[in-house]
Amino acid sequence: MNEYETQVHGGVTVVRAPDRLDMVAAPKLKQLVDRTVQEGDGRVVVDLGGTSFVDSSGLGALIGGLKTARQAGGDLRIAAAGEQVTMVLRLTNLDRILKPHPGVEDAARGW
Amino acid sequence: MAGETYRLDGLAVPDQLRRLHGLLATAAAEHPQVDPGALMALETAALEVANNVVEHARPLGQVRWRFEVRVEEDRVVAELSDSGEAGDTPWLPPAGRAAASGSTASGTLVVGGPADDLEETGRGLPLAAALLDDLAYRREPGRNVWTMRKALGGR
Repeated sequence: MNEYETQVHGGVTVVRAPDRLDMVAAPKLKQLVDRTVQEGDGRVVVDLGGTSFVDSSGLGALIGGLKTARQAGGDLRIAAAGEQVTMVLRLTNLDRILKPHPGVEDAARGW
Repeated sequence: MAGETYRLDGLAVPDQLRRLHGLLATAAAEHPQVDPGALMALETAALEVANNVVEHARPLGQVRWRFEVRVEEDRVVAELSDSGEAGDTPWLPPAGRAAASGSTASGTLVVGGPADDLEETGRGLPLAAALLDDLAYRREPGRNVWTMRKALGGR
């Protein structure tokens, strides 16, 4: 699966985040999530399984995407966060509002 | 190889952030004995500081920076200096608060950061401070200097 590629799992759209979700990549991810929300029903899973690094810009894109999805009556969940992503979510306390799901299947289930 | 300094010179623009990552990856690869978690924390912090320089250094796109990192016996030290104008005093948490909170070990307390959970900006420097043992800024003639220190082992 390429960076940013999307696919649908039972009505939920899965967006694959890039290896480095940084200042350069964050705006692209935000645009893609916004478009996904417009085209679908607002349920989005961001697959972080291929993401080795996130910075505060990347977190901002996830929060922005979460807001867009909720405004459309949906939600945004994150899946498969690695070590660095988990550390950054914890230190910013964002793991309370972006609860990491172990895998895409877990995140897409029970919606 | 302890004590060797890795250095990068360039323009403070977004494209250069990947080079900074590359330099830190090289330093990590050449120091396999060093705790990867500590280096990961330092890299995350260094890139937040670099992001801040890219966004705020003036004149925009013309500021040059130098990044240096050195692996010492018991700590990693990094310095980012830039040729930008002296702007408003950059926001910085009170000295020592990040370390005193124990946030590097337990990760439960955020130093500063936005009051609103759903705010999309304002987390960079607080995150950097929480990841490090020491983050400091000073203005020298013609340049801004950020220093970052991360202890190795035992923490």
